[in-house]
Amino acid sequence: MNWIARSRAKSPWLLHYDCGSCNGCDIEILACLTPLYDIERFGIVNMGNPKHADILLVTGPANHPNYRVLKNLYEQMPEPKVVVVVGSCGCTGGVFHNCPNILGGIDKVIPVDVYVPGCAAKPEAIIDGVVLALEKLKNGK
Amino acid sequence: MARTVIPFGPQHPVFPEPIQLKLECEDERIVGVVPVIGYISRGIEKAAELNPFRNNIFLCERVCGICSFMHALCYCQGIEDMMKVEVPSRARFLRVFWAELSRMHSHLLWLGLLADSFGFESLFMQVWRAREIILDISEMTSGHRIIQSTNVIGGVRRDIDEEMAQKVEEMLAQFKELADRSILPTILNDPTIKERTVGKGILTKEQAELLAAVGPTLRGSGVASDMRMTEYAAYKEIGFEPIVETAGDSYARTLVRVKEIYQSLDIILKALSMMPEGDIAVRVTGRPEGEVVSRVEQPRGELIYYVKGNGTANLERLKIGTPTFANIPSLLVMLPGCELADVPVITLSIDPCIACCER
Amino acid sequence: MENEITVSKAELITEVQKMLAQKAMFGTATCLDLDERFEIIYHFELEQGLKMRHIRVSLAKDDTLPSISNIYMCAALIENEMQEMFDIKISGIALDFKRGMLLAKESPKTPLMKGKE
Ligand code: SF4
Repeated sequence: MNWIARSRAKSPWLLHYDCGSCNGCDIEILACLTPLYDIERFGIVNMGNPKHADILLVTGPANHPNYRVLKNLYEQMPEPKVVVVVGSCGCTGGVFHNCPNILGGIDKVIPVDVYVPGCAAKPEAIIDGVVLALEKLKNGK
Repeated sequence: MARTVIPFGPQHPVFPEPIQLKLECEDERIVGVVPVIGYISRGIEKAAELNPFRNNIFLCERVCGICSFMHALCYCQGIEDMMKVEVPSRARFLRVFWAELSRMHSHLLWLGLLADSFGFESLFMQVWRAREIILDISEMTSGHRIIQSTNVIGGVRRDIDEEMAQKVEEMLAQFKELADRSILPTILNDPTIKERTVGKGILTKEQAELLAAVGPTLRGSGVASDMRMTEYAAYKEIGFEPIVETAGDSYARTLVRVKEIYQSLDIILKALSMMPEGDIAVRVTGRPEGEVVSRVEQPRGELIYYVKGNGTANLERLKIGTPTFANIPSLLVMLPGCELADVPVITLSIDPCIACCER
Repeated sequence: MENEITVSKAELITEVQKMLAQKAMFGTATCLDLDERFEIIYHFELEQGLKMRHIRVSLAKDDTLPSISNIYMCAALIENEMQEMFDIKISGIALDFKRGMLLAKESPKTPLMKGKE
């Protein structure tokens, strides 16, 4: 493994996108960044720019108004990249499955690597999911 | 002078959620604002007509994950009102307990985000650390950190026993100690916070009334309006006085919320000590029929549910009127005249919750 | 419901003006699709929100509702929402998003109308 690949797995940068969630999972992602859970100890940094990011963290189901934004973000991210969906509603549509403005799970729009179920997913589960994603980054898909 | 339109959002570091403000600027000064919403609208009101009415509780809880308990409470109170159900008094006290717990966690979350919006990273971290204590209480008593999901039609799902109540009191004392030491003095005395918030985004009393602001935004402008004054759940027995500030600026709104954190703490302790023995739920049979309007005070303001039942298992219509939706017009008068760099702080000062707003 | 009055479309504006004169605060509005007509309920709050007053208007499906947003500016958002979620015509909204506030182009049109399941 060359040093770029090694450092990628040691310090992956995250991009978080809210695709129509109820906020429950978003605040748990934020909680991961704060002192108690502190994912920075794994070298993970939250980024606002898709071109800097290795991991895309998506919450919420894909919906009509913003699935294009999601696709756009995904396409802007450089390879290799992994997508982690946080929350049951992002995995399958969840409680929102019969809402008219919803397309369904995130995997209807972009390929997903890791699913983190839970409504809302606990910070421990989110960290687990991200660490699983790291494995994928390391092994180069 | 030439005018420039600057799109603010939808992806902006200060918002965890997507909303866009089209800011019309003359140089650094804002002269006009147009909000662009709809990035995360789901259509929950329709889904509520398709689900059986009991299942709607789970849907209502997920209108917004931050104040999920209040949504379920408002819905359950509406249905109970319609079906003429008398909720046992222990359940009413338990509802107050969780409602105030959510209020504390929501206000703390907001305070952290506000601190983050003007670059006060260490306050952000401190506040969120204190918030974890509240979330632990929530997890211990209800089984979940943020979506408590303890409401059922006719009462609550879980009880709090002696031992647990004692533990809760200990944890709250721990929280209070932390808040007294590191949060309150900073908010009250720190010059940087005042520099960024005092006099920013002023909403006068008249404007607030005319634009139908709700919650801390309204109370920060000197109007003593709080739905808890309508004495739903157990607020009658516990007693309640709204917290009011008169300056109408971002700092006043901050103070209202910070004081409400302490007020909620008192209410929780009172609720625990005054809680009568008895059942926590009654069995409810039948189907809802008729129309009701149900209102509760959410952390962000007044929440209105209009429920219409038609005697079947499905509702005819469920209308959810949320506080952020009501506060956006106020935001549109707060922003003009301010500087571009103050937009994040002023926008956050109404505590926007877009998931609520767009449903 | 309690404290409810039913008015015709023509009386709506005067009734709303009366609410303003009493310093009522606008709460929200609800639109109902009753198969052959629409019913719109405006919810107002009096005395710091302790009391409520509802104004109900019945409207034929092909009729146009006058906007109250010139009296209560804050009603503009909810009127936009009604216009999007229902196939209802509202004239003179202060800030008209032209049915593009909440729904996107590909979203189902007027999703809250009955019989759209
Ligand atoms: S999984 Fe549940 S808690 Fe998380 S965003 Fe979806 S509805 Fe909200």
